[in-house]
Amino acid sequence: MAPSIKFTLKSDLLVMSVLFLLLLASLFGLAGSHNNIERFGDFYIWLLGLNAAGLLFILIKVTVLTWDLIRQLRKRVAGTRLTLKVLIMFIVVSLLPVSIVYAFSQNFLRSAIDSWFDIPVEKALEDSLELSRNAINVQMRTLQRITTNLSKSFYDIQPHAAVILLDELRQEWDLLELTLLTTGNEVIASSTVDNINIRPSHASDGDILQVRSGGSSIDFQINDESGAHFIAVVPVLPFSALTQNRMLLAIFPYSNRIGALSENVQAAFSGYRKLEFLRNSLKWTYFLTLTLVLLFSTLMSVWLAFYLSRRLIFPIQNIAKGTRSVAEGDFSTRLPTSGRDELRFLVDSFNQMTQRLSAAQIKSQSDQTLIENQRAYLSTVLEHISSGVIALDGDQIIRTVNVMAGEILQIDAFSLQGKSLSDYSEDNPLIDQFNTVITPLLEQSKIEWREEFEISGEQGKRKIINCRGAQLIDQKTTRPGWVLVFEDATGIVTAQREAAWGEVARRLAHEIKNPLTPIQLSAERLRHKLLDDLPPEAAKILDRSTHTIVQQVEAMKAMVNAFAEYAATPVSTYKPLSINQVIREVADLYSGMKESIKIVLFLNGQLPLISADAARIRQLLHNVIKNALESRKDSETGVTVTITTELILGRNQMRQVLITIQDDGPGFPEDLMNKLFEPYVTSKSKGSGLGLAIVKKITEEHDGTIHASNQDGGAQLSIQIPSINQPEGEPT
Amino acid sequence: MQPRNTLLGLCSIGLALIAFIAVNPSSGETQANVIITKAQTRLVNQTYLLDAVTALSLSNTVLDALDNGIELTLIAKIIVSRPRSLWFDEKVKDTSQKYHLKFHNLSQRYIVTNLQSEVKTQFRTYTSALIHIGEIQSFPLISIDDLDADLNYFCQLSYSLDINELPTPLRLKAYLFNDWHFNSETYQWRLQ
Repeated sequence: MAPSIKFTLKSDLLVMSVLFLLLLASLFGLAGSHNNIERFGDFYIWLLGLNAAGLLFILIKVTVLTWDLIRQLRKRVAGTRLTLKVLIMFIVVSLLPVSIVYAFSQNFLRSAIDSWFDIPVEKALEDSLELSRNAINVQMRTLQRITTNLSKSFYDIQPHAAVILLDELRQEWDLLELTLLTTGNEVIASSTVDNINIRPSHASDGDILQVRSGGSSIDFQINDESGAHFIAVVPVLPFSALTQNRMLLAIFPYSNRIGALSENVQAAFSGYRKLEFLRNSLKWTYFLTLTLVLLFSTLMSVWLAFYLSRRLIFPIQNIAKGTRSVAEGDFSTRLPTSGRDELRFLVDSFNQMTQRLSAAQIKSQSDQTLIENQRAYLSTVLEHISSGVIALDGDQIIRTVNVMAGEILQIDAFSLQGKSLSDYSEDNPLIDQFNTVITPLLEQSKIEWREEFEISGEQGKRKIINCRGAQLIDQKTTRPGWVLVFEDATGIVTAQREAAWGEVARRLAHEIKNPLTPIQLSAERLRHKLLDDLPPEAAKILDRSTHTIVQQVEAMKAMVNAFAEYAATPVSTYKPLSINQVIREVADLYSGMKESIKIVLFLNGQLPLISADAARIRQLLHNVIKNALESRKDSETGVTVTITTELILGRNQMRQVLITIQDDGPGFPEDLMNKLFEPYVTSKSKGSGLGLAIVKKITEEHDGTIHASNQDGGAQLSIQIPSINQPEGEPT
Repeated sequence: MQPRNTLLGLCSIGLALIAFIAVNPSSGETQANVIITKAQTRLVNQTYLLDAVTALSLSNTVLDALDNGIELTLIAKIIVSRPRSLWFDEKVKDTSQKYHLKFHNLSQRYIVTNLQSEVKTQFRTYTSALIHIGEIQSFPLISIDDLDADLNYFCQLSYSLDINELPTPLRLKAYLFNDWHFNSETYQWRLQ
């Protein structure tokens, strides 16, 4: 863009200069043609055409430039107002004086030309001419009379005598020529003053006609060589019938002095008339020349004004464009430099500024990229750590939250962004409890804190949250922000508890089971040895006591065995297993119990296989069914257990087999819901409290999950075990 | 020069020419009239002589100028050419007769000067002067030696007023206005 404008300006200057010189020369020639016709006269029309064409070109150029200026003014292009001001200034400065000079020159020329013509002078010239003419006429009449008198001497004269007479008379009257002719214009005799050129003159046709009719004629002739003279032709009367009719031709010289004066009068009069005739044309020509000069000056000034203003505005426009580019964020703009004036300094400063801005922008972009990379790195770390992270600002608005935080709090993490935790308290009990716990912690003045607490969801599923908080110091805000890092410690705590229970069970099995057999044997020996020897009353007491001891030891043995079983780490053999088949086998075992239990199966025939230890799965099913049976032990109607299998998509779109076992018993006690799967938790008077704990343990051995709930008044256990992506293909 | 400037220049020249051609008014007065009534050549002593009669008349404007001391230069242009097929005619001879016509106030005579022979002739009326100018008698046109006997040649005769000989202030008017136009149709005949 800029080089193009620069090129245009240069070419404009070239065209302008050439045209200026051409038109100036042309105008000079045009003006000169009035004074020096020989030098410029031949080119007058061409000079005029050249000027007209040149001016028309400038006019069109100026019109185009004006139109461009108007268009740019409408578009509010930078610098156009300055151009307009410069233009107006130039026009005023150039047009006013030129117009004044033009008007003055026109008046001066008009009056000067008019002053050439004066009525008295014209009248005097006319009178002089008339006077000369009259003087010639008088002289002509006199000479005609003299010639007529001379002609009388040539009546009937012989030719040879006529020659002598002609010569005498010519000399006597100082004539230039005296010739005797016939009326047929044939020379009879002649005498001339010029002895070298003795060719006699002849009468003109008009003279002959005049003579033949008896008249005479005299004519005033102008001859450049011999000067003016009179030619008189008169008949030689009377005409004779015997001889040819004759006529006499006499040429009288015109006085040199009078001739010169007359010719001067003629020249002056002719020049005056000529000038007067050309007066209007002269005025018109001068008017045209002056008008061309005026137009040339004005249009050239306007063009020059356009050129200069554009040349002046060009760097300013460049700077404006550059500034706009910089405002739009383009710091790569570099302005073309030219000249050595203050604008050059401004352009250089601008270029330095953009150069520095560009460098700063590059650094800023580099820093930004670094920050972005760090942010991406942090985001990646946050997304992949097992802890939930929430960053709160001073107003406790969530600024950053990771996916794990959403998973722990069972909400879409991104929906939390920009909101407060309290906004979700009503809809999400987990967040409500979380918020209730941490709010007082955030309000205290500790810079860092740590807290472990329990929250439970809608289905009563407990979560143990291990949360740490640290203040974020922000200089801009008075209230500190917080970063909360928390994790779901439920699994760890449960595992720790289970491990503790396993240790207890192992110790119980080891420490208690060993003395039980000697106790039992000792009690039986006591009974055996002493029962018969004791009086009946005492024997009865012994019998009852030993019986109680044996029974209790048996019970303790059973309990210790159960604990041992719970604590034991069996060697499982995992094989592809059809869960439906195992369920049918277990159900068949209970089919013989008639009224006490009824097992209803709803099995999905398209289930995939699972990788499982069949014995452990059977144990799991037995424990659950046994649990159901025990819950309705006092009922006369027995228990109905419904086992359903189906295929579901679990977390991460993994296919899972869902086994739902529901009874129609009283359901789980609400107060035990949170710790149903913990060992030694039971609602039954004789239960070991390890049934569901073992069920859970087996489930987890198979990477499964278990969930307990009360549905339709009965207890329901939902067990999910991952499939091995191999369809069972077995009919229901 | 940029194409835009070239275009501007061409437009300017074009408009100037159009304006020049368009502005050609007439005063409505008597028009100058030139009719070549006869023109012929004859071979005398191996030379072709030209005889021509042309009726010349001047417009009132030109007559007015003549009576006011403006000298007129009339040109009889004579061309002998050989036609060529598919190309311009070859000019074998290109000559002219120039006449100077002026009015002498003192003698009230119209003086015709043949600028070739320098012979001056005076006439009482301008009509006589124009008749004299219009008559060409025995003008030696071309020698037969300069011609190829096997080829055909044509002669052309035309009269015109030499505007460039007019006083400068009158020239523009003479170019622009019809009153000053004094050009005959070219009279053409076969040289024989």
